[in-house]
Amino acid sequence: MSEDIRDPQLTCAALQSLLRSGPVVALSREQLAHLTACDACTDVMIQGALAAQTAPVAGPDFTSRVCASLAAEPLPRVPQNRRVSGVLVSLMLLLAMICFASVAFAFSPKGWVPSGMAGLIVAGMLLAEVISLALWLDTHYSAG
Amino acid sequence: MVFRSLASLVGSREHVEDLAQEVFIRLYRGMQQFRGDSLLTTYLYRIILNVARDEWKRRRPEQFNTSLSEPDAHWDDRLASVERNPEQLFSGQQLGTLLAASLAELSEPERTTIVLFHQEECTYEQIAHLLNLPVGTVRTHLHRGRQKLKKLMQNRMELCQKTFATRN
Repeated sequence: MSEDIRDPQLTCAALQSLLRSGPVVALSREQLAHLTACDACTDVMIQGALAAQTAPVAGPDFTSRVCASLAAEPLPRVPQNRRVSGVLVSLMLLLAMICFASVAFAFSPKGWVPSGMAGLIVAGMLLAEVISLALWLDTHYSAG
Repeated sequence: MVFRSLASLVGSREHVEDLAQEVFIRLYRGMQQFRGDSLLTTYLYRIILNVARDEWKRRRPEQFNTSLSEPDAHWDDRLASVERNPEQLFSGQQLGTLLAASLAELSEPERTTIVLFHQEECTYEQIAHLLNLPVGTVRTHLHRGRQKLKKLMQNRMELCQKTFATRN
């Protein structure tokens, strides 16, 4: 503590006790002079002032503003049932792989696809699968 | 909790409501990804810190470096009511003004650790988890921040004292 303190009767213990007793209402010249020179008392004063800082009060329309902002937010889309989604997507991918794998056989003389129509049928199946996958995903994902 | 932390972290109460609104919107957006691995309060504090950080970036740097000795700082104006009662120099509100100004001069990690530790009563471990820092670094920031804050407060109080002495 510095020797610059004006009031010799003002002790650290007394001031710290005052500062710890609650939020500071007012400080006298002597107390302020003491604080500018005494690290220990300043520590106590800072801790008290930090703890005593009050929160700004929210305006009466704060809740409605937040709700309006949230209402304007696009709702996040999540799958309703991850396990079912996973199984069905896997089945569709398997079907797509079979379609691609059987293209060579389908075009062969023993193939099940009549020549000339083969490309059209395979393309149609794939297109139908993609469309159904898109539709299915859209209906099975919803707002969380 | 949200309002008080934001006010202390950004050093101003002017736009706290807008920032708090941003916090709640981010919380809503992030709830889908919240897995419950940590406490919801920890998640909320992280959002508050991110919003405060964005605000620091958005504002001009000089706004956070105002000083009582600078003519543009206007701290004298904010402490004008001091002259009403020469015996009781400083009110608690005026001390709060000085504290906010001094906090704003600290570095980001120092200010954050002080606010979280002293105001929000977080533990060293919680602060370390929130800031992704080792506990030792948190302690260092807190210690340095306290020392700087003490010096800044003492300088400001001394300057105010001199100013008021010359006025009277």
